Amino acid sequence: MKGLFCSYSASSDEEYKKLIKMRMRFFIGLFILGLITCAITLMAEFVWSVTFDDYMLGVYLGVAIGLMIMSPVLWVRNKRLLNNDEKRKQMRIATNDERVQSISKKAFRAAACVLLAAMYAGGLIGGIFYPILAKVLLFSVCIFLVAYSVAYIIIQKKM
Amino acid sequence: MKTKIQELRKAHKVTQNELADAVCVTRQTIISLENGRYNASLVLAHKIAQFFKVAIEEIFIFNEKEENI
Repeated sequence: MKGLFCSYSASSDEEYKKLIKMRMRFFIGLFILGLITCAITLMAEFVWSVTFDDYMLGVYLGVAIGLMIMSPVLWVRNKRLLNNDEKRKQMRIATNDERVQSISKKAFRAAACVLLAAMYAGGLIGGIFYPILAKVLLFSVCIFLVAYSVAYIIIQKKM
Repeated sequence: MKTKIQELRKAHKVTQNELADAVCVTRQTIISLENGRYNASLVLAHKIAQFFKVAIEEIFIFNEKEENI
């Protein structure tokens, strides 16, 4: 999952250290998000008497607990990276490597095409049985296309 | 694009790892460059040329037919 959400360049060790510290703050934010999601879900179910489908209750709690477990693990991993010069250098080179970034961009593009096709097909076929599914999936396809167009225009003006 | 990276590396008695460390890329990138499977960016080409103290054109063989010029 190299470069999936973190496509960046850190040309020096100092810049990379700042990036690691920023990531550590991000993971703290993720943990808090997990905690809030878990709290809201449980309060909604037991205090506010909102009726949840069992499946959706499991999804919300699963996502929340997943965030709460993974974020400290990743925080510790990055903390160890800060304290180990050799490992940090290897990681910086591995993630900054232009070939790795190029592979990541191509993989991301391929995944986006597959996802679009799957959402479109799912929306058309699923819509036969559940019309709301068609609306959600096809709307998501539209959001993707609009977001892509806007991002293209903005980035084109910058470059 | 063909390159003379492997020849220059062996002439200078430098391993792929040492070259990769010197130009801040992974060893796999050096392997791909030597096999012609990956084309280096201008910055990386310049770094490699500076490392071997030769011109970029002496390392990276630009084939006009391949590039449709």
